[in-house]
Amino acid sequence: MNKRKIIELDEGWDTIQTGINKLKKILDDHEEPQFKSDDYMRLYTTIYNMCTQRAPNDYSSQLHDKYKKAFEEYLTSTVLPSLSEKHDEFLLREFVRRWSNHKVMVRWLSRFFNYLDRYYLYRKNLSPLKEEGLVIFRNLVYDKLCSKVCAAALSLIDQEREGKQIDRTLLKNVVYIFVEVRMGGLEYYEKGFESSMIHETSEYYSRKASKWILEDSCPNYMLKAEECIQREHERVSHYLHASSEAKLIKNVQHQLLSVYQTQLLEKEHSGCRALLMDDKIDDLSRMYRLFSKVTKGLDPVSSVFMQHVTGEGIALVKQAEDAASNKKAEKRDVVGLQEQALKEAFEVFCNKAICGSYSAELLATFSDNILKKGGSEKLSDEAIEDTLKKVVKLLAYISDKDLFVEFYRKKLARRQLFDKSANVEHERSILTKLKQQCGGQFTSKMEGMLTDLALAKENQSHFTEYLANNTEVSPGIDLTVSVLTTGFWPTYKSADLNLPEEMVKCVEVFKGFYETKTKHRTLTWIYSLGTCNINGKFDAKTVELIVTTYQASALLLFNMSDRLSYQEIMTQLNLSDDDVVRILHSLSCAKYKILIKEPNTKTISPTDYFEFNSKFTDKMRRIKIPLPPVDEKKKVVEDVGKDRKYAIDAAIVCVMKSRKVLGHQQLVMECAEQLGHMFKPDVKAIKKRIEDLINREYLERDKDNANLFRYLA
Amino acid sequence: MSSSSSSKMIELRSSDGETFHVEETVVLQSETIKQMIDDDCANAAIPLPNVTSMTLAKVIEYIKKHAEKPKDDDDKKVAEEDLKKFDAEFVKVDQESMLFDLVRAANYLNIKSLLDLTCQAVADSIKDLSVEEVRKKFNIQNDFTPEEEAKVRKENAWAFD
Repeated sequence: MNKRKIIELDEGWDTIQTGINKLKKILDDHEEPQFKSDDYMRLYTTIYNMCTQRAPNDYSSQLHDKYKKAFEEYLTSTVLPSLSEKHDEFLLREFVRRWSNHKVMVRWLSRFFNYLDRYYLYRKNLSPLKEEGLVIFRNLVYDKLCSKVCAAALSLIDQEREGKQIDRTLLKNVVYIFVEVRMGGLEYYEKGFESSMIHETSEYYSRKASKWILEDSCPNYMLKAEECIQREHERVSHYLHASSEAKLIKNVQHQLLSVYQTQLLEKEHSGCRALLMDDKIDDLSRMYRLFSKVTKGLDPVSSVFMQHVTGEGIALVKQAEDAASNKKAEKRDVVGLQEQALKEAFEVFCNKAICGSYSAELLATFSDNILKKGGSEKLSDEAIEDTLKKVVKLLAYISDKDLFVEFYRKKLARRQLFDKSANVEHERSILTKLKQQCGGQFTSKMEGMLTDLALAKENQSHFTEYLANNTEVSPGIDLTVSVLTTGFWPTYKSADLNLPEEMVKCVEVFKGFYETKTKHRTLTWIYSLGTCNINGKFDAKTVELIVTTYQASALLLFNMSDRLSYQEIMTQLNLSDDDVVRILHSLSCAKYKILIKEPNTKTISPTDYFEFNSKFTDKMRRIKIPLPPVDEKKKVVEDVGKDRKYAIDAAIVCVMKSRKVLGHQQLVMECAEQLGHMFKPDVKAIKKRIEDLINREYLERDKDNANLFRYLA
Repeated sequence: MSSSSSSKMIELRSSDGETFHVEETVVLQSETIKQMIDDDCANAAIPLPNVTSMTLAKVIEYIKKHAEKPKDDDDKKVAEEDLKKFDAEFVKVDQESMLFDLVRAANYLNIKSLLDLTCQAVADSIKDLSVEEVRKKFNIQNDFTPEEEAKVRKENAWAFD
């Protein structure tokens, strides 16, 4: 049945050896012609036949050994000697060439010996021919040379780092061999190349960094570092395995950034602080870019920044105290600073109450300066809008938002009532911005104020009309009244003043008018906000005096008598000492001396006498005699303190109502969270309010656990 | 591969010197020849010293049939049926030696589906035969001693029911 002639091992091997010799020639010398179809089939058929002959002529196992020997022989006799005599770049080139040759050899031989793959190796559970062929190279060549090759490759990389042109393709091919010899998996690449490469890189940059840190300024150092890191990224994409990128960069960052961070940031004339002082935005951005990529790298930067901002801020606020009118400029600086601010650092500064000045107050004052007449004429609408935007942005960093609102409302009231507001558009615009950022509750009162004023103007025109129609009720003098809604406006002291007769009549007339409009509303008169224009008939000429209602009332007393004592004035006006002192000071000790004081000193005392100064004159026909406003800061702060009490109460009750039973710690936490958008409540204050609520029987302590509260309802 | 055109012809030469021209796409079913084509070694006639012209003709008939591509889904069902019929007829050969030749050719050329088909046919043909008949059919000498044979038969008694 088997018609084929048996091929003996030696005879068959001769045929195969001829083929292998031809293959070696092809590898070493390109003159040798490639395999033709009959060469191919002769080898394939010979091996096929030798493997399919019946025992004892089945030579599969012997052929398998020969297959391996063919590689071993070639590698030891030809490849290794040629590699061992080469060095550096030549070694790399030879290594790449030999590896590529070896792959060709494996390919051909695994084709010719294909039949072994199909049955013999498969049945014996041995690795396939290709894999086996590559493993032989790994064992015989790679293992012997990999450290030498790796060193040569690293030296090339080193040369490139030092600015030389190198053959990147060669390097890429070499590096790729470390990956290929594993045939899937990166163990050989990582052990044989990557770990040394990273080690070398670390050492390289460690040397560089130690040199640069001494020689270079902080900005130059950062420039170099950034460039190096960029280069290393490129290096990976040009010739390293992508898996190395993260590890490599992390090491470079460590050497260049982490190791010398403190020294770098604290460089005396160019460090972080100096850059901040000089507004070196580019350098600072670079610093941010670099250190943001390092774990905890920004912490030291932000701490320097915090110190800087705090320092600057304190200095600014100190100046501001010295010259209150300059607040505007400084605040603008602060707004500028904010743009580069790191939030945390900024908050610390913003919320420090410095020398009794609150940032919340300063910010309100700043906005007042922008919004009031004469505050911002030189600025374009866009510039004002922009500044307002910044104010609102800045507000986000201030925790006492309620305090800001209170101050702002006071200022707004002043602007509106004394017609000092430059542009109602801007007023509305900032309110819209505040509303967007802090919510409607935040601005509802202030919006109410603006609406009120519009209504008041309308009301005034009705009043004028009413007077024209009812000639019998003439008030005798021109009267303008702004009727406002109590809840929207700040609280003012209401009437304790004894009005002069003329004005009493006015008040009566207006009441008459107002009752025609509405019956059930109570009018409360705030004389402290009134303004009067009165004519002073001095010997030289008549001068129109613009004064407050208080001042006017005091002056009108002198229509009846020429000389009055402090006590008499106080009794007749029915005002407190504070007010009387203020009024008299403005009329007798300030710029315009409408009253002559006895004795002529700079301060008012209860024993003084006052006389109308008929000799007074001024080159102007109309003068304004300012009455310094009472320092309201204390009152505002007190008011806010009071409001906070209620807010805390409300928050506690609200939390407890939903939770019923809650531990102390958690209650405090939830309250703080609820209130956070308006202010940072003091834990002590919350505790106090809890006690108070217990006393008022809203809450009770758990009988067994004093730290547990129950809601009573 | 020098050309990708579907009409490229490959030349095969049987052991008795006859040449056959087969489309490359058809002949790719032979893994052995496919590897040669991949290695760019199929430009001249490919000698197949293990296959006679008679067997090679049969093999080519088989791979040609199996290279036909159905046009659409309906056609596909019909074609599948058709191919089954073809396979059944294909292994009904007059001489048993022809079947063995086909098995060897399929193995040599590494055409898996043909190897499966012909091996199955051989297996079917000995299915109901006794040990002695199988020995005769495959020309196998009984190399068991009588003791060994008795032991094997006892251990595999279930197979001889």
